[in-house]
Amino acid sequence: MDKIKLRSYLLNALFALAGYAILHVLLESGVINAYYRGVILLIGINATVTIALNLATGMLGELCLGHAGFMAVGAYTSALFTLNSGLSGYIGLILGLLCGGLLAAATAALVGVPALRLRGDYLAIITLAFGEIISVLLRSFAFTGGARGLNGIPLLTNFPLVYWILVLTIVAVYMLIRSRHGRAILAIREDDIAAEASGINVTRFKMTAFVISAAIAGIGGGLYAHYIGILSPNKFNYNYSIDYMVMVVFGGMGSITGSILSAGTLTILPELLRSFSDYRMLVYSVLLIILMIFKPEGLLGQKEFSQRFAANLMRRLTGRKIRSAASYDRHELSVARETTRRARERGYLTEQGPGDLGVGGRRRRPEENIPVAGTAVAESEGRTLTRQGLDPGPYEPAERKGRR
Amino acid sequence: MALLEVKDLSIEFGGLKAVQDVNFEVDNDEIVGLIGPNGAGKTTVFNLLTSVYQPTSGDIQLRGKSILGNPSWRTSDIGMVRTFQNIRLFRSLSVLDNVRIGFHNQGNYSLTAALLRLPSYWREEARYRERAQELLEIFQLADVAQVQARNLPYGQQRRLEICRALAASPLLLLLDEPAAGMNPTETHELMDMIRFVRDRFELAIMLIEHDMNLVMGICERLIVLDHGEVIARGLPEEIRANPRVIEAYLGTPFDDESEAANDE
Ligand SMILES: Nc1ncnc2c1ncn2[C@@H]1O[C@H](COP(=O)(O)OP(=O)(O)OP(=O)(O)O)[C@@H](O)[C@H]1O
Ligand SMILES: [Mg+2]
Repeated sequence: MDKIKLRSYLLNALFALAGYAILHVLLESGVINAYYRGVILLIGINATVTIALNLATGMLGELCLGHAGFMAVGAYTSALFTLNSGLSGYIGLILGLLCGGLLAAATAALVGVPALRLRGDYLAIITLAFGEIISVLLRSFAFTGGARGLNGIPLLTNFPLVYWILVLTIVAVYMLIRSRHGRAILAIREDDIAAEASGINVTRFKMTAFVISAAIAGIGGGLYAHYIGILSPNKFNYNYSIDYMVMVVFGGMGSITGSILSAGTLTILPELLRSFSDYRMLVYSVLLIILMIFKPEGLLGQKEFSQRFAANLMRRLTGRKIRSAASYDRHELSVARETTRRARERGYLTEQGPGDLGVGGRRRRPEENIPVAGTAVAESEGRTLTRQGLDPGPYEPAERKGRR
Repeated sequence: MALLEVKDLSIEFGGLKAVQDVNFEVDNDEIVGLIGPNGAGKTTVFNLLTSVYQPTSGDIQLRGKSILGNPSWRTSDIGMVRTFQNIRLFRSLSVLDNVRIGFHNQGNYSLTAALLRLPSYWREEARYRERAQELLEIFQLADVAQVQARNLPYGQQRRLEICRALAASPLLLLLDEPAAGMNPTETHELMDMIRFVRDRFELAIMLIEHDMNLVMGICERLIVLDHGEVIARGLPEEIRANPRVIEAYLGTPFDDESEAANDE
């Protein structure tokens, strides 16, 4: 077992505990008033869902436009559970959240089976449709309260629960992505053909990431239900899904800490802009556009705000070397820095700043392999046709024309 | 028994017969070249070997077992790994991660072990890291281990792709135009490397290449494809003198017509 890594895990655990203690004291002593307490809870919930969406979109590279739908599944399931199970208090809530997460995961599996076997942006379309279908269904069923929705859901969502579920989400996604399973997920985003050639069962890992993502979103939905107290089918619409997508992009695709930061910023921002009253959304949009112009890769880009990042930052600011648990690969890092410097001198290295090489990135579009012989191919049968009809496959076009 | 046996392999795309009744064998520890003019069907043969396409007819056997019907991702499990004509790396991941992904087919620890960081996770990850380091050193990529793959110069990207393929411990390595885009010096280094890889990792190599110096220099046996058919096979010297091969490469007046017919 890796001692130095363990030490860094421990340090992170300490950070999490300290963060909890500080916020807890501030909330209990009344320094943070009831209004901001609500905002903090909302930030926590939004951060949880944003990280979930980031797993599917930033890390796996599949565009999902229906996470509000998975939240709705989780929200209604858990609300119905606490309302009807007779189990009161937190036991009921936690069981309800689990049921919500599980049902959201099952729904995702149903949605994913047809969509994830194909290459291309099918998942975007299918999840978009799924989001709409869910809100129609919620409106038409009697047990979900129809168009009026559900009222009187016990307001059980509290700070410790939100905080620790967020922490658990961060840990789970981090542990996942820094493992062979996570690397498989990243590989699929980078190049699914190469991933397949490396022995990765692309469909299976797409499913894994997508289902985990939906499960977490479902739990987030459950927290939301017990935070707001009323559920209306109109809430979980397309715009709500897009809000989360904006948070993911704003924070940086593939960056967990970026997601937290952006969920925080984008939840507080509308509150701060209240003085602009009618122009609030206008100002909000303009700010978003400005950020996207100046930092198109999002707040943190693909970086993570890790211990190593913090240590590097401190060194830059103070000019002193900070010892941290993350210095375990000091050697590795100094080698990398040296190579980077040399590489930049030779002019083939463009980006690479301080800090972690996170797991962000952009999906590679297969445009360069679109088969040329379209007409001939359309008539063929069997596997060839499926391959061709839906995706270009690893057909590599001739690069040198007219050599024959 | 031969390592790889290809029997009467054919595939059609619509009306186009991209590969027709191709037969060949590859033995352990052999370096075999697959050559032919552009569009001859070479890459298609690789796509068939790696189950990207299922053949219209014929059979492919690896160590006596047919691979037909296998999903493509299983190819590396049974011992064949390829590189691509247009380099395909995991571009925004580090060089080290590219190689670690190459170990995927030997991975054992479960998702639960990963999430809970059970001992099996630590054990295997330590092993990957060690072996990745070894491979990276062999390919002189160790000091760029933390650099994003897309920031490497072209020659190193080619090397990394081979390095990643070797991480999967193949019995047969399929290289699709490994020297494409390389200058003569780089090509020369590549030749040495290919020989070295074969000896060090004790595997068979099948390579597609247009660079005749490389092909004649390192291949022990050649198979020549044209219009999807094998038109010649044998030792490099024999192939060099073979009139059909020369004709296929230089073309005849009739060739243009048949190509036009193919395009329709
Ligand atoms: N998926 C596909 N759909 C339609 N036609 C295809 C497909 N794959 C290959 N072909 C056709 O099959 C023929 C052989 O292509 P292939 O890519 O195997 O040639 P190649 O020998 O690798 O050529 P190059 O030297 O240019 O790489 C070409 O005419 C090509 O257009
Ligand atoms: Mg080719």
